[in-house]
Amino acid sequence: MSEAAASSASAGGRAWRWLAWAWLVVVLALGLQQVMFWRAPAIDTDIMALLPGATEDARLAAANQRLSDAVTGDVVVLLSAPDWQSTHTAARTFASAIATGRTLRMDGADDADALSRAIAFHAPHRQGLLTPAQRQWLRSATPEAITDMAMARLYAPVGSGLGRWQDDPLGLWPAWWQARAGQGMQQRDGLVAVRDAAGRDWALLRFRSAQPAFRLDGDAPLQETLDAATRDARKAAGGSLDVLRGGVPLHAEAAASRAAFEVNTIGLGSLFAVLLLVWLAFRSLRPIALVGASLLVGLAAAIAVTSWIFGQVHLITLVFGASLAGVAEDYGIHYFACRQGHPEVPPRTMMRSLLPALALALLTSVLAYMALGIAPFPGLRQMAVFATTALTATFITAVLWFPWLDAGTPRHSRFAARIAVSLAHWPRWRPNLVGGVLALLATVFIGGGLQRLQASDDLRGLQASPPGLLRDELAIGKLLGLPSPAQYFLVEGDDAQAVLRAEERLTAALQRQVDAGRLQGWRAVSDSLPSLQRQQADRDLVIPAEKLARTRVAAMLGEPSPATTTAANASLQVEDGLRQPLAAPLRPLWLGKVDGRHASIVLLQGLTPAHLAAVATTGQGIEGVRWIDRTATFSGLLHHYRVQMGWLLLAGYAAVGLALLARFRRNAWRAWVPTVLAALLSLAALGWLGVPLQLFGVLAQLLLLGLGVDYGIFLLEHEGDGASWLAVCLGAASTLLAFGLLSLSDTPALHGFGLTLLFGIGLVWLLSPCFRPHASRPSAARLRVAHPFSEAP
Amino acid sequence: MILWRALLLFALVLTLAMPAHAKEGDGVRARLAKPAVLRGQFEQQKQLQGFRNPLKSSGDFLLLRDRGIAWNTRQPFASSTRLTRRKLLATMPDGSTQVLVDASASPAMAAVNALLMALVAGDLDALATRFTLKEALRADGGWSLTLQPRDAALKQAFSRIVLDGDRYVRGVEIVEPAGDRTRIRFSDLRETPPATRQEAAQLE
Repeated sequence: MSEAAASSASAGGRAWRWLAWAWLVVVLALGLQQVMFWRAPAIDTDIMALLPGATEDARLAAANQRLSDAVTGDVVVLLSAPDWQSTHTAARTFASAIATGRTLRMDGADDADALSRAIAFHAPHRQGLLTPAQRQWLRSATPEAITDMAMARLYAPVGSGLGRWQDDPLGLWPAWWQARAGQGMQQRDGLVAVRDAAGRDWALLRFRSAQPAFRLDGDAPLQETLDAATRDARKAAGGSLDVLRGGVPLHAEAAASRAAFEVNTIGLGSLFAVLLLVWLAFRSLRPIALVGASLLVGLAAAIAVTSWIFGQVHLITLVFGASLAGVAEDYGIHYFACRQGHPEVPPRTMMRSLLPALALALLTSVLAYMALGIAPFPGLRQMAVFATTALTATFITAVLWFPWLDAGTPRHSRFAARIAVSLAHWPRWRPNLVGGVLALLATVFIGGGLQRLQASDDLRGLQASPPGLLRDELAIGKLLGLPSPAQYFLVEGDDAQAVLRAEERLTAALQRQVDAGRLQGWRAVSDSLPSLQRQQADRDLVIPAEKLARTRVAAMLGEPSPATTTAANASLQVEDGLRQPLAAPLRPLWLGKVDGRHASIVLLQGLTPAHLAAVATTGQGIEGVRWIDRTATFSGLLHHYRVQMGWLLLAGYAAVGLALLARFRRNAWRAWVPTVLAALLSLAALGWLGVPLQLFGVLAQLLLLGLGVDYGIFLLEHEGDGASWLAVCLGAASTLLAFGLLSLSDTPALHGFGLTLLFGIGLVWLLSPCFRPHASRPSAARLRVAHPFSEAP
Repeated sequence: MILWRALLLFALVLTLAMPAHAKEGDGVRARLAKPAVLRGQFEQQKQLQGFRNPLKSSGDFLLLRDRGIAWNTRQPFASSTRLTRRKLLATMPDGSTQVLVDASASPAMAAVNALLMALVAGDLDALATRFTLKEALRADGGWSLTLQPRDAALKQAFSRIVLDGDRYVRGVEIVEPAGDRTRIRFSDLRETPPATRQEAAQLE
């Protein structure tokens, strides 16, 4: 070694030491950040947050945001006993049981004065407000029919209903309100009662969740509170009581408590597995402490960076991240395995010689994980950032700290020795008869499996709510006539009036769909707060008809022509109307001015998949009306990125193949083939098992490429070296364990992810040594690569 | 649709022969008959704000407990209203028929119709939950019952309803928030003859 080299090495050593200290400062800051973070964890539990928002325009984004905001925090409970009296008692008991706790608070019961105030507000605009049926009747009614109607109303045992006969001789006004009430909901004994299609009465209770859903302890306080209240209410009702519960907080809580369980089992499980392997292999506390510390630093850095970039960390990211311990430990284990195999080499020299291989391994893994973030799915991007940060921070910790802190002499263990020796006895694939038969079998298996492989772009891969909750939710939606937030019409216009006019054209077309039995109904602002143009047109129908009715009836009865109150002009403005307390259900539908244009949402009730395509075309030809199908959009995105990632995967295999060729020449295939075989075999297995390939399956394949090729690289790089084989085995075992645990996740996407990698990594691990070069025939690569420890002094 | 509140009232008036249930109103229920068929005449007098003279009308009705009710105004003009299990129909003087409530149209309509039919069938539970009842019993077998609406929507329509009668309901007075009053007197109440095939078909 020359002097210049020695001085540069010592300068490098100084810089290394400085970097190690600087990293300590970073780690201390991370520790502080963690204390702050976990005091009030900003953890997102909403599954929809993982899906891409509407990126194409501001109004669509506002509409989607509005629809998800409108339901967040609401918990709905419906109770029904065999008779109303017991239902009533049960509902009261339920509400008071909830009131004693602090997890939920009762939503303000409907204001009794709200109706009379709303009627008073709308009264001056009355003549411009007609139901479609009234409009049609007035258009075609003869003067005689109008007079008869007025007479019949006059002689009906109960009069005008709202105000005097003279002000509303045709009874248009109460009927308009009747149409507004809709939904079969009514106030009854201070409760909201709903009657279902079978004639059964349900009491409706609304609550708001008072606390964030996520708790790391896995408790489910909402669930427990509701369960306790249900028990009390059932007792009060005399034993027989049906209870339906729904609301976003319940889904969030179920997801949170399950995820908390999974984070704990996967995270702690893979951490303990890694530490156990380290203990078995190295029989010493130091490697355990160091590997454990590097993993903790990686995790802390990942949480800090993710929450810094995204504002919060998603639960699914945490569950996914928990499996990273099984990947990130590779660097530390590799180092200790080589130290054990070559105890004579000092720590820093060892680390320096390992650095290229470790960096290459980090690079391939990081690239694979970053590929997850190519698709614009916020959830996948988070996972990509989380994994990249965790791996990088663990790598930096290992490289900067291990050589300084690992002062002792590595100890030998029988476990490690046995594994290291096992490489020599591992079967090799040879191009002979047995090898040919094996190749043929594999070809048949792969060919048949790939032929059977189907693709799916179903959104439900992300949804994992308990089936009971989904069933209840469905029943509630049916009972309350709740519209679907997944499909709707977005209506746009230059001003509020233009939006209302477009809505009115749309609802007229929707009425034809209702008449054809394809739809139950819709919810639109213009039904209650029509455009000025429509108000004026309706007034032109109503005012002459009412005048005629009053004059004729008075003449028939010999009464003087009654004095009438003159109503103002058509002037009901949508913004004023929306301020009324009764307009609360309409407010989420009105987006107002967004990005220079006005917009609103028209929601649909009773839409079934069978009629989806027909209803979707309802808005065609109406200017400013757009059909939005979020489910289809998501499926389309999943499809697009599944195909795109598929091509990326192929490109990735080609690129990795070229890189291997440049480094290992004739032997490159030995590192490449095991991973390709594992990928094909795992895909074929999916085909044989009838599991469709989803975007997440393709992403798992990308990770398999990134992680699997490493094993081949390590084995070729340090050919026939038992220590490398030990590192590969320990790394693969812990990775297998981590993804095996991930495959236990209840989230379908993570489950599939874990399963693909469990199978794939397992195969790469078993196959890689089968393709190692013959020990008797020194390889070109071996001759080319300088001995890794030649720099040792 | 205008008429459904009115119909609700007829149903109430004519079917107070209910199975004993609540405390208040039990005395009235005990005295009322519970006929399967009830026929009779009615005379109605309405005093409206802004009208000098009361408005008088009369006609007849037929109640079939398990089918529905037909309410026929004869004077001063002919019109008819029918409530069946599935529909509420009005026939105008010109003979045209309007469907006011169609239970098959939507769950909301079904709920309105189911409530009306429950009343006709003698299910007072639903009614007692929407009105507070107050009864006064006389020694001679007569009684009066005052109903006051509980919920906001009904309060818009009624201030109070007072019924009086013996075995049958004999009279009704309805007071509305605007001050209008309606008095109905029933006469010639009888449980025979049974409904003809044509009458029954009308309430199919």
